[in-house]
Amino acid sequence: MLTNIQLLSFSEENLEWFNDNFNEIQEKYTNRIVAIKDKMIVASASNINSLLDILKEKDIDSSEVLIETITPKNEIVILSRL
Amino acid sequence: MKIKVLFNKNKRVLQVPAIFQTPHKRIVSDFVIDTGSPWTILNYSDSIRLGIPHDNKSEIIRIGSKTYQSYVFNKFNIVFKSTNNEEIVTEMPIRVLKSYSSKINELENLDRIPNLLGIDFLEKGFSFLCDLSNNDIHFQKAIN
Repeated sequence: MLTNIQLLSFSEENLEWFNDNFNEIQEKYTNRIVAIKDKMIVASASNINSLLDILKEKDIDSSEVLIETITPKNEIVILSRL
Repeated sequence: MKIKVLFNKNKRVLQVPAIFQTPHKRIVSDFVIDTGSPWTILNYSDSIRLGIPHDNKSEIIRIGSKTYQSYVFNKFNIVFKSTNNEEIVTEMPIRVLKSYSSKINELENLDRIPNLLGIDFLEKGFSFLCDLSNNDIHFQKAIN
């Protein structure tokens, strides 16, 4: 089992990889939720429950993957409480 | 102790990797920093991954034109990695948002809301430095 520090180190690398490759990922996976592990997209689905099912089928531990939602091009999310 | 923050230039958000821990489970994830949010929000997807119960009603929260019921969960630890590879563990309550409707498009909208690290996190004694032009963005906490 990975330690928290090992897991966070991998997670930081995966997040940097995701950010660096966001445009390509967005082209391919727009409007989907993706799971990232070892600097790869290991699964994608239209909602979280389907994604968790796919990860289970692939025998990938869902607690150790980074999960990100891919917004369409030219869509930005502004988050503020009214 | 410093916690490095990443600037996602495409999404134009500040992100920080974190581990979320409940008494029963831990998952790896990340926060978007939102000092406009009064509370730290755990997104719906991660609440499902952690198996957090949605039974302790809290505020009604509006994001954009949508209204959500929030549920508070107290037994929650957030673990960060310092730039010196040390664990920084913060215990704080989080809120989960749920839609009033179970329509698929409403659930998919919920999936789009990221984890938000709100102003309550800064009340835990962290200072926040954001120097985008020099790519120096971090939280800092004094060692007690």
